[in-house]
Amino acid sequence: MNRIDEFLIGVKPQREWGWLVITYLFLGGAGAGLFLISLYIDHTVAGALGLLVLLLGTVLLLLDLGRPERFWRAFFHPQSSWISRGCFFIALVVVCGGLETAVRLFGLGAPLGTVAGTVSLVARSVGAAAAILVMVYTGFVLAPSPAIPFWNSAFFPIIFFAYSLLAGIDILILSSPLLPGPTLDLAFLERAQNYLAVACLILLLSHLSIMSGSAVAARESIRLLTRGKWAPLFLGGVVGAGLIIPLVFVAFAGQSGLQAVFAVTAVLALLRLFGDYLFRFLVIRAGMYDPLL
Amino acid sequence: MARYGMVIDLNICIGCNACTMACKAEHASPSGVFFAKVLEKEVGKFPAARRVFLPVLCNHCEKPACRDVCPTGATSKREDGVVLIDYDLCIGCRSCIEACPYGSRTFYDGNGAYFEGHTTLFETAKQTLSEGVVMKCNFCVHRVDQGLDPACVQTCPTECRFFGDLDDPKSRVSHLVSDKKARSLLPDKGLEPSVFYIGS
Amino acid sequence: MASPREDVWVHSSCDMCFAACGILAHRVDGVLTKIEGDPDCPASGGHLCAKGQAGLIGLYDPSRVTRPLRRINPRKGIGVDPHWEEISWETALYMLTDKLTKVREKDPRGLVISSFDQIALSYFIRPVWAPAFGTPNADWVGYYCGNYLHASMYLTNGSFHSDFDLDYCNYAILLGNQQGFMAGLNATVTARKMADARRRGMRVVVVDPVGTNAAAKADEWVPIRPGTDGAFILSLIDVLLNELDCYDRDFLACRTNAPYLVQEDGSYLKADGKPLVWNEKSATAVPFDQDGTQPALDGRFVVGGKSCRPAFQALKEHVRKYAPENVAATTTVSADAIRRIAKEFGEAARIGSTIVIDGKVLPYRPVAVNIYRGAGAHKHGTHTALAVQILNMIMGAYYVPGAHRGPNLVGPAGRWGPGVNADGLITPPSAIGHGAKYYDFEERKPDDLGLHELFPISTNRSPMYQVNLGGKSEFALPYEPEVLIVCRRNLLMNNVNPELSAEALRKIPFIVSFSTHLDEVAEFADLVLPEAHYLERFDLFPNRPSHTMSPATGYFYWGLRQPVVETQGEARRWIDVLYEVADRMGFLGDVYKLQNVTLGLKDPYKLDPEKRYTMEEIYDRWTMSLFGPERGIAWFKEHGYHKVPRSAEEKYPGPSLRPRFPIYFENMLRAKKSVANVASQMGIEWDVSDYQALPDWKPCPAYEDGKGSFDLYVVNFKIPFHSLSITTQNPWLNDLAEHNPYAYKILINTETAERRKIKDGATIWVESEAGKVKGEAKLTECIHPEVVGIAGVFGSWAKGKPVAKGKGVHFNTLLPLSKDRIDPISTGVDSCVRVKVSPAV
Ligand SMILES: Nc1nc2c(c(=O)[nH]1)N[C@H]1C(S)=C(S)[C@@H](COP(=O)(O)OP(=O)(O)OC[C@H]3O[C@@H](n4cnc5c(=O)[nH]c(N)nc54)[C@H](O)[C@@H]3O)O[C@H]1N2
Ligand SMILES: Nc1nc2c(c(=O)[nH]1)N[C@H]1C(S)=C(S)[C@@H](COP(=O)(O)OP(=O)(O)OC[C@H]3O[C@@H](n4cnc5c(=O)[nH]c(N)nc54)[C@H](O)[C@@H]3O)O[C@H]1N2
Ligand code: SF4
Ligand code: SF4
Ligand code: SF4
Ligand code: SF4
Ligand code: SF4
Ligand SMILES: [Mo]
Repeated sequence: MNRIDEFLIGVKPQREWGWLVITYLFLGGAGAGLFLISLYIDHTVAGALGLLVLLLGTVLLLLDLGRPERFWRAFFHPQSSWISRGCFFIALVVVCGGLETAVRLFGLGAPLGTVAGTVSLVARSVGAAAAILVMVYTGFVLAPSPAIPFWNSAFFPIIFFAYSLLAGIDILILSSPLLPGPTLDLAFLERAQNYLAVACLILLLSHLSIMSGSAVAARESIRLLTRGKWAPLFLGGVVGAGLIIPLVFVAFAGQSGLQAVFAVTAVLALLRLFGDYLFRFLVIRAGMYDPLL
Repeated sequence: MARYGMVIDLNICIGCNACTMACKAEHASPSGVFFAKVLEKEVGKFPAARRVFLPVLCNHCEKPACRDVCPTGATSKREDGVVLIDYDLCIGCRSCIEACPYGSRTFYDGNGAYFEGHTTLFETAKQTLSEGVVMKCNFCVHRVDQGLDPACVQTCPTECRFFGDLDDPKSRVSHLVSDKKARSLLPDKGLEPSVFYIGS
Repeated sequence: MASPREDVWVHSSCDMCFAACGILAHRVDGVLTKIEGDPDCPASGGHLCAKGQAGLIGLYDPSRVTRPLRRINPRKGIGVDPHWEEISWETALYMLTDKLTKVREKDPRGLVISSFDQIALSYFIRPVWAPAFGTPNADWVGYYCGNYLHASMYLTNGSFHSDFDLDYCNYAILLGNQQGFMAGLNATVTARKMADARRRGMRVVVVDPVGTNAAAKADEWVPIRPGTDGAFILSLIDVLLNELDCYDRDFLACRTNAPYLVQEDGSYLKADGKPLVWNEKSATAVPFDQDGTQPALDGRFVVGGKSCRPAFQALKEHVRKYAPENVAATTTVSADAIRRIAKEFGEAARIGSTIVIDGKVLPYRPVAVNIYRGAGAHKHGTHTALAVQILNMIMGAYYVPGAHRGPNLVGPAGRWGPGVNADGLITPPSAIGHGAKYYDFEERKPDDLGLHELFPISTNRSPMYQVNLGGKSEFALPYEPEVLIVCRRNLLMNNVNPELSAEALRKIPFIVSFSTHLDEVAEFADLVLPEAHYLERFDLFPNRPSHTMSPATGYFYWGLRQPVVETQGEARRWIDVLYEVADRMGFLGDVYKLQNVTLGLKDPYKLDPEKRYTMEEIYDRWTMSLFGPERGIAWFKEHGYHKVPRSAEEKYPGPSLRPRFPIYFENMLRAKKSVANVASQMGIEWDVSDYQALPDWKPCPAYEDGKGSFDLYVVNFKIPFHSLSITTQNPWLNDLAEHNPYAYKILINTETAERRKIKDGATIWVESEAGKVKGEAKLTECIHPEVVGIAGVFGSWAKGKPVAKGKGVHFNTLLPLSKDRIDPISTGVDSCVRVKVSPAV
């Protein structure tokens, strides 16, 4: 029951980043993911929804600051700080995405060559690029940290990308019945999800296996996740509910069986989203510092 | 160019925490915030057991991770190697805390008065902190710039803390570092601390 | 920021513990902004401990008492709200004067004073104000450190306190103390010197049930079972004398009473009043002081038909029963360890070697055993303390370089020095050793609460005050205590079980407390008077050159404590107040007369009993008569210290002294008879068996108590960043203690705890016959498996100490008090207590 702020030498958990940052990681990634996929399937309203989710996440991030009113200072050090860079990425997505959506909604799909057309094209491509960066940069915020070995891994940008896309698509699936505009090819989305889920699983396991050979604090993080107090949430939630169960279900029921009832698809999407959020939560909560001696 | 650093002799340190309190008195650091600390652990089993004391402070790293992640430039490194936080620029994002392997930084949430609901004349006169920012040891630059030792070094009853210029080969600290096989904490983190330890 | 109008550093002295380190206080525009060690101070040398550094925040504590208060609620008890009413100083002084006048008319002995304010006590209250008032009951300090120690020091070497020469020592055994590790008197200078000594390679052996800060840095930690130190030390002596034949023959023969011939009944063999020694040259018994003799140390002789042996021979035979094998089981220290330590100690003593210091050739005995509170605080603690000094003496490690030495056997330029009795033995300098009878005893019924005549050897009998007050006393006195004046003495927290102390306090009709806070004692007071904080007041001379100033400072020096900032509210120094009361009552003139003598005031600085002086004027005259007209108080305010470097003889007086040091205590046998007589005059049963010529180890009552579930001992230890209860209300030190892994917890050996299914951090009860306390268990490898450890004086309950209230665990609640739990020689309270530990559900 040692208080974590007791003056003892030993592995110490990080306690600075809590649910605000965790939820931002989730919503920010999901929003950007949704925006990205919306460009791919050419669905403006979905894109707009993605931007909203991203903005919501960003608001939470601001609330987490000790001095929110000074947030603009965070743009000042892109040369070294990934957080600074992140600010620009988010800004780009919002601006370009906003512009592009506006053009689509009011410019009425202007043909190429027209001003609106070019603007839209540029905004599209820049927005897409920025969205990808938003999905990965949080991985770069954690990855370089020598302080917290469990985060100190090149996998994070990729894992975060995969998980962001996964979440984005799941939100899309869930909102599909309500979304105006072109109907969605749920079958295609489900397939995509299966590939993504497999990818996440592989990345996750390889991350763990690498970490288990790493510094004291990293091993402690792994212990907490696989045997310690976080094990139920991680194994049951992130791996089981979030990845395995949906995959297994699909494997048995098979695609066709799925489409039949949307409810089932929705449930699987919800499971994945749940696992996705838990994943962000546990990554942050399992962060540990090495003992100084 | 100078590179300020500190050497602490762990053989001689008795874990008295005079450094801890000298720092508090010097900086009027708020309740619950300690720039200088003495960490402890036990080694061995009874009767061959022993308590070990480890006085810590900001290492004023040559490659300060805290500065690199800082999005605002609030954290910066002086020519002489001292790593400082500008409390007027800090937005309290705490990424520097996540980036520092040494737990040298603390987020100050604002309730820092030591007597509940009462701010002492001392605190009014001396506390110049704004809340919602991150704080840490500043190597007592205000003293050092006047040629004084940092408060924790000045008070140490066993004289086991040494402060000086690591770039000056003739300085006491340079000698201790070279002669006494000085080590820094967690060297493989690659931050190149300017605080060294001798003995054990 | 506007440049300050005022920015000064003021010389003064810390008062967060008795070390009284010199400080420089930084005042900016009337606000104290920093305290640093004063580089001019030979003690602090510019360095302060955590407590000294934290002192300033206490100055600004909003819960300090700033106005006189009168109690409205007549009911007194722990946790009972006194319902304070603010009154003016005039009203307060009227009440106090009125009460004191009545007592003085009825019987002045009805006034009891309790304080641990060393300066006030030793310069103004004990020798001056109290006698002038007419009470002998001016020394109620209760449970404290000195009982066990001072008597043994006075007897063996005539100094007050135990210390050793860290400049040259190579092998130190710390027996139940943390000298040099930020505890003990002279804490900072000894910490500095200890550090240097350890850099030099001095070996430190810490004998302590708890893995303290000292143990953490020791070369060897010997976790001994509490209360068995006597056996351990006597065993070392046995090995050195009877196995290794290792002792300083010359020192023993010429500088101690080792050669004195003692008869079967233990008394000296004398001729015309002089103890005899056996001269090996002439094979005859000759007076101890005859020149050109060669005194025998061992053997048995028949002189004038009387069979006798040298005291040393008696000692050698006496300690045989303490062979390592016999004490290993008692002490839980292995026979091998005891033998090894004895051997190392004996070799390190370099018996026969000399060293040249300041051109003087001096014996070089770089070893010392140092004892203080922990090892002494037991029923037979005086025996243990005497055994320790015997061990130092047989090594010749006495007042020579590297060895044991006490502050301060000789004063600067011979200002004071030890005396000698008819047997050629040392007696304490008059500047130091009042308070006890060492060789001639008065056999009359005691009339003081301390029962002096029943404890002739003891230097402070104050635990008897309480035995006397509490419960129904068998020691009927011709008067009743009427008024108690308390200043700076927490009779409830630092003493035995608070309920027992409360019972004693309730017996006293009127209590006045001079307080900085409404502490646990103030809550029992009828009148509370605000005392000036140490940073607001005048004190001369904080570190007493005669009693406490360690030779390690290298100087004799006189410093001061002076106001650094303006006094908050109406707080005043209690001495000043009592002198004003004396004036109102009309005995200030007598106070002045005594003061002239005790302070040694010379013309023209003598106080005129007809005149009135401010305290500052008195201090001024004091310093000028000590150091001449140019050294008035103004000079001290500006310069801080009058310093005189110590000569080699003043650092190491041993070789230049004539009186002998006793290793054999024949006077104890006479004390025994005297005490028995006094007891029969009082008509009481009294155990006099502890009055022996040679010390023994005897078990504390706790050894019998160990039945059933009361299977552990509880032990208390000091931590470097808190002193007693005075620092507990300091919010910085509290903050630190809350983060510290040990300070506020109950230490228990990991295995012991696990056998009881107690997890680290669990809440547990510790229960003794006297009381029970609850706290958080700290599982540690650094404590004896039979012991639970509780640090400091924590667990305050007074509402007037909001920071301290409820923090940490109160050790003293577990301490019983009764006359069979008191050291029969020194009156030291036995802190060897058995406890039962159980999880709190
Ligand atoms: N548990 C435990 N008990 C102990 C000890 C221990 O180490 N642990 N040590 C023992 C020893 S060695 C000793 S010497 C005794 C000491 O016993 P005490 O002298 O009673 O101990 P203190 O804690 O100094 O109590 C001082 C009291 O005076 C008040 N005070 C503080 N500063 C001032 C001031 O400037 N003026 C006035 N008027 N009052 C002030 C404080 O509030 C406190 O209540 O305790 C003994 N008891
Ligand atoms: N930091 C600090 N310094 C202080 C004080 C303080 O409260 N804090 N108080 C001042 C005062 S009043 C005094 S008297 C001195 C006291 O100074 P010290 O006597 O050096 O300090 P203590 O911690 O009381 O030493 C007692 C030690 O004896 C151990 N002990 C307990 N029982 C036994 C036993 O039966 N046998 C043995 N061998 N050891 C035992 C305890 O674990 C403890 O470590 O310190 C003075 N200086
Ligand atoms: S002041 Fe010096 S000895 Fe005391 S804890 Fe700090 S470093 Fe160690
Ligand atoms: S110790 Fe931490 S805070 Fe200090 S410079 Fe290094 S990284 Fe920055
Ligand atoms: S908390 Fe302040 S100092 Fe730390 S990284 Fe953020 S802005 Fe920089
Ligand atoms: S250098 Fe100054 S700021 Fe840093 S720990 Fe020491 S006293 Fe505190
Ligand atoms: S040792 Fe005592 S007197 Fe010296 S600084 Fe510490 S508390 Fe003050
Ligand atoms: Mo004491």
